[in-house]
Amino acid sequence: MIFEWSYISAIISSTLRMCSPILLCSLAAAICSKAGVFNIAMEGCMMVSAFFAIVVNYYSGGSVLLAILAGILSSMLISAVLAVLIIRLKASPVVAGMAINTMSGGLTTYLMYVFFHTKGLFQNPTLNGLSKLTPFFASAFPELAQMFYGLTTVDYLSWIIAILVQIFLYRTVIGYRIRAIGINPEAARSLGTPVEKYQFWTMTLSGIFCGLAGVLLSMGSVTLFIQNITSGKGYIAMTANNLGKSHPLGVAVASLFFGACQSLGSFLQQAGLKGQITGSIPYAATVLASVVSSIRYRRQKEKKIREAISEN
Amino acid sequence: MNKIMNKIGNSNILFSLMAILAGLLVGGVIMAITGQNPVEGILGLLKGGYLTSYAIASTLTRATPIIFAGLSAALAWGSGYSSMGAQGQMIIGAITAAIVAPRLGFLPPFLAVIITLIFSMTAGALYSLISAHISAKYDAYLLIVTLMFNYLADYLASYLTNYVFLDPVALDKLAIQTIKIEGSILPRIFPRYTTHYGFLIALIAVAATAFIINKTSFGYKARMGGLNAGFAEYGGIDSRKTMYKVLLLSGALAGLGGACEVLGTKFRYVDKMITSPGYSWSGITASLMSNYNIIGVLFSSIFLSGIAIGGSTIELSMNIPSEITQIIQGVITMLVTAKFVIRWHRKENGRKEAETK
Repeated sequence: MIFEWSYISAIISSTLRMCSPILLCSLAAAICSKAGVFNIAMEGCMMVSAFFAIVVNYYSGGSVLLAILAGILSSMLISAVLAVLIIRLKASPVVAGMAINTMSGGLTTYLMYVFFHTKGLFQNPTLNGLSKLTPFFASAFPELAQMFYGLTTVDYLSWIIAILVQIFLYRTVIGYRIRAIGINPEAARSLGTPVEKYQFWTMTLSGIFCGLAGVLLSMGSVTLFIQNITSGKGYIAMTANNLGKSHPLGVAVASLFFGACQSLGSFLQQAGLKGQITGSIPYAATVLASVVSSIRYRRQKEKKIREAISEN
Repeated sequence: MNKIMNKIGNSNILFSLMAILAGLLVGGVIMAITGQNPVEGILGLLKGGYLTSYAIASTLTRATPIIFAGLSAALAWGSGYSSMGAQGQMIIGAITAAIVAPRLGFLPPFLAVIITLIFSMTAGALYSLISAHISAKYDAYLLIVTLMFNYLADYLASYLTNYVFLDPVALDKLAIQTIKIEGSILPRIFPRYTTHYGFLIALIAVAATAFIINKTSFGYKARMGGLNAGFAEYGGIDSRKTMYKVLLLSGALAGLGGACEVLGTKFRYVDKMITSPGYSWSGITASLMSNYNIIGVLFSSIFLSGIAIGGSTIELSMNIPSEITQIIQGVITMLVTAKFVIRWHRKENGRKEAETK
C-alpha cells in the first residue's frame, strides 16, 4: 500500500500543504533576523490573523478577499506594536514576543465568545475557504497533478514569496541595507541608514507573511477557527529559520522537512498509531534537527580547520 | 515631569503597580468595546479575587503552582537563561507524583508525601537538565528547546494517562485521568477552605530560593551571569556549569509545583491540568513583575492568581469570558518589560543635560 502512487502523491500534497504556513513564518523570522531583530511573535501574529480572517469572512457573507485582507492587516498591526515595543521602547524581544503570543491566545478566545458565543471551535456553512487551484497540466498528466491536490492560491503564493524574498534581500539596495543593519547596526547608522526605520518596516513586512500563514491555517484545507489553532507552528518556523541560516533557500528546505514531519504524523495516525505519539513527531523532529545540524556544522568547521593546517 | 519619571524609573514596586493599573484599564476598555460594563467588570474581578475569605482561599490555592513556576523562572531568567520549560517540568513532576503516590499507600502519609515530592523534584530537574544539555552542547536556543520539550511532556503525560495509568473505575468514562490518590495527599490547612499545605511548601521554597540566590556563592555566580555574562566568564565563573546548576534547580522547583498541584488539589493527574490554566506563563510574568526578586515573586504570583480567580467569577456571574485576565496579564508583561524605556529615557536625558552643561 505504501508504494502505491496514489499514497505517495497524497503524502507529497499534504507535505506541501503543511509546509506553506511554516515557510511563510520562517521567511518572516528570516527577514527579521537579517535585520538584526529577534522576532518570536509569529505564533501570535498567525493566530490573530487566522481569527480575524474568519470573523470578516463570516460578517461579510463569505468574502475571501476581505478575509485575507483582514488577516494580513491584523497581523501587521500586532507586528507593528511589537516593533515599537522592541525597537523604540527597547523591551526585551523574548518577553514582549512571548507576551504577544500568550495574549493572542486570550484575545482570540475572548473575542470568539463575544462574536460567536462559543469557546472551542467555530465553523459555519456560510464561510468560504481559499480557492483551490488545479494545476494547468492536470488534464495532460493527472498522476503528476495529484501531487498538488488541494493546494490553494496562497500555498502557491508562499513559494513565490520565498523567491521574492531571495531577490529582495540579495538583489535590491533596500535588501542590502537590511542585511548591513543585521551585520553591524552601528556601521550602518554611521553610513546614514535610518536603522530603526528599516527594522520597523521589516518587522511590519514580517507581519504580512505571518498574516498569510494565519489565513492558510483557518481557511486552507479546512475553514474554521479552533482555540490554539497554531499549535506551536510559529516556534517550529523559528527553528526552520535557524536551520536554514536565515537564507530563503535554506529556510524553504527546512520548512519542507517540517511539513513532511507533520504530514508523516497525520498519516501514521491514520495507520493506527496513537495520537500522542504522532502528535509529538514535529516537536521531537525540531529538537533532533537542531542537534543534527549543529553536529554537521561543527564537523564542517573542523574539516576546514584540518584542511587549513594540512595546507600549511 | 522628568523628575517624576526618574523617580518612577527607580522604584520597581511603583512601576509594577502602574503596569497593573494600565493592565486593568486596557481590560476595562476591551470590556467596554465588547458591550460589557467595564466598571462592574473590573470591580467584580477584584472582588472575586481578593475581597471575600472564600476568594482569598481560592486565590492562595491557585497561587501555589504559580509561585513555584515563578521561582523557577526568576532563577533561570534572572541568571540570563530564558527557559520557557517550567510548564513541561511541572507536567513531568505532576505525572510522576500521580504515578508514585498511589503506590506508597503502605507508608505513613507524611513519609509517602515527602518521598513523592522528592521523586517529582528529581524528575522535573532531570527533564530540565536534558533540555539544558541539548541547548548547551548543540548551540540550540534554550527558548525553543524548552518550548518543544513542553509539547513533548504534554504528549508523554497524556499517553501515560491514557494507555498506562488510566483510572479503570472512573465514573466519567470520558475523563482522562489517573487513579485517585488515597491517604498520601497534602491536606487542607483549614477544612473549610481549599488552601492546602502545598502553599506552605511554596513559602518554604521561596525562603530557600531567596537564601540560595542571596547568600551562597552559587547564587552570586548565577546572578553575575544574569547581569553580565561576559564579565562573569572573565571573572573565572564556569558558565556552563552554572547554567546546568541553575536549570537543574529551576526544574526541581517546577517539578515540586506540579507535585503539589496533584497532591493538594486534584489528587490525580488529569490530562491538560497544567497546560490549560497557563501556570507557567503566569509564573514568568510574576518573575518579570518583581524584576526577578524572589520575595517579590510571592506577591506578584498571588496577585496574578487573584486576577485569574476573579476572572472565572465574572465569567459565571456576568458572562464576561475569563480570557480577559490573559489579556490583562499580557499588557502588564509588556509594560513591565518596557520599563527599560523609562530608564533608557532617563539616561538619554541625563546625557543631554550633561552635554548642555
